[in-house]
Amino acid sequence: MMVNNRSKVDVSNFEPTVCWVVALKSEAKPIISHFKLVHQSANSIFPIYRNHKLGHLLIVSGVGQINAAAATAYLASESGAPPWAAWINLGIAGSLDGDIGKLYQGVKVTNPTKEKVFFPGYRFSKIVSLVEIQTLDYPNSVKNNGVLHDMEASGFVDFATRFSCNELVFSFKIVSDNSEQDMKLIDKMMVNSLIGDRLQQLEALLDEIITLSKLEKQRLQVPDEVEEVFKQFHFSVTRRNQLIHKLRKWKVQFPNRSISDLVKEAKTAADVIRNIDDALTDMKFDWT
Amino acid sequence: MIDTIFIEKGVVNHSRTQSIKSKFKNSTIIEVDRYQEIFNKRSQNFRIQKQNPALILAEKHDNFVLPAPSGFGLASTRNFYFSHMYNCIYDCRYCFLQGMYSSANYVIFVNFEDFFDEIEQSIQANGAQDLTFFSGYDCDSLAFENITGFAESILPLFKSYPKVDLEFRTKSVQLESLKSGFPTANCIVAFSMMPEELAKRLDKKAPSIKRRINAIEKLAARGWPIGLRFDPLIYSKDWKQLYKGLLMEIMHRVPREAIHSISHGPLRYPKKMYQDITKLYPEELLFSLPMSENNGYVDYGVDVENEMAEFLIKNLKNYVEEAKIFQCVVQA
Repeated sequence: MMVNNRSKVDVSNFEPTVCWVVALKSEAKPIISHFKLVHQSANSIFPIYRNHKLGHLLIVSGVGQINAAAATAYLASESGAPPWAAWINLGIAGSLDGDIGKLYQGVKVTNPTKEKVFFPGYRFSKIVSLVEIQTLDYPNSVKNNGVLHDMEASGFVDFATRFSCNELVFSFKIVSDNSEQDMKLIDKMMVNSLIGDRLQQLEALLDEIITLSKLEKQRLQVPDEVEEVFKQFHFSVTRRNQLIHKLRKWKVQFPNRSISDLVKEAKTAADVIRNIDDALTDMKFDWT
Repeated sequence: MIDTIFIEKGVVNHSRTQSIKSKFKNSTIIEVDRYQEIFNKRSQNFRIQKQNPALILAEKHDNFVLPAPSGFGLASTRNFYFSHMYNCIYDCRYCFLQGMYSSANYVIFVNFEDFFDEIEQSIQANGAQDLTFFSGYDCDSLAFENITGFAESILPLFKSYPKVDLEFRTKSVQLESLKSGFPTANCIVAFSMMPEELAKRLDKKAPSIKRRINAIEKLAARGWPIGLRFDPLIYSKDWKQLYKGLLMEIMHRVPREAIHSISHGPLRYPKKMYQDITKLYPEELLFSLPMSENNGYVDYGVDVENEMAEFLIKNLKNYVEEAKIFQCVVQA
């Protein structure tokens, strides 16, 4: 692959809200089509699709947990996904006793080879059934009761939880084969149809996921005004962090006041921080 | 209420596991090797998790009973605490548990009998000393009583040691087993209290102060020794008026003879814990108020702490003798 000549994904003015990591093109197709994702750079190591307006990114990782981990890290790096972005691994999985076509959320993901165990995602038990997923290095026809078997979830979760919190990392799997239907019957058409049939349920999940992501954004995002203050004065790293922290408190106490009140007579970064401190000394707050 | 129960493989067949499981028939059951593999996991988001905590059933292997931190306790010479549960069904904004654990999931240790054995050993090892055992340091002692039956299980032990005190600390009003049972004279049911106006803002998901006072009234009438815990004391513009109103209501409703003890403590956090909690809830009014770092703790400062403590004591003097009032300030 021509790594050296690859062009970066254009992320200007784009903030990803949902990052999909999907192993196969046939698994990705219904998502690409439904969310009107557009193929990005042709030279990318992994194919990446995007809907600018919705804030969706999708990467096709290829089969296996190393590919899933690598693609996750690659997408994070290329997109600059913020820590409030949700990460979703979607794909098919084998099961001994699961119904073909049923969608599950993996709430325990194990990797027996590496003895790793993860518990990803806020659980959406009202929308989807919860299950344990065992990630294997090879397709396995021998399956355990009540467990789904896949080849990506563990590698994906291991890496996605480095870029967003554990509760915003999700692995959703659709049963493609079970004790009554052999995995040899799986083909592109079938995969496409299995995923396509679950789009409505996935939409319901996405509504909830985006709500959580927004909550995290509110918590983590540096207020816009901070950037304005940074432009006006020189702040050391320590003072930058102080300003962010103190300004948040100030905004809670004075939601209707403008930051310009704190800045207009300041000559240095220290003055700005002192002005905030002065404003925050009144303890006699009215709780009622 | 609980959609998922993670169960340690070692306690899957434990009778208490079966009993708890039977109360959540629609929950998904997932087996785990050890509770820490989920509870201590990195990059968990306490705030999001708190919206829908899972239940973890586990076995505790050691440290069933620990000496209470210095400054935590009542009149006894020696104070101990134990935690059959980690985390709480309520979501009180000042609670230190949200800065202590990375997970909001509830852990219940099902091997109660091992706790009881070690409590008994501690009692025997400390001979004639006055002892108090505190339940409810890492959880609300009684909020999960309908599920665990913990209080009901432990009361017979303390009936055998009438000179040793046990405190259940709670905000729960679901106390049917206590309301209908015979009181145990050395078992104190201690309620965390603050003015209703503050509780409405801060004691999220917890019963209102009005309901707590109703429950206290019933338990007192039944003969249970009552503890009142004004901990933490929360500052506000009109805190004197708010706390005075609360005290008047309690004095009017709860007979003084029922009061075993009253304790109060300031709002105070170790520095790291304060930073963690404020990161979780940066928009929270409570943490936007000025608090300063003093000796590794973040608090209102000694002047405010003293003023609030003195006010409380002064207003309680006509209700209970001063010997029943204790200050609770956990030291490093």
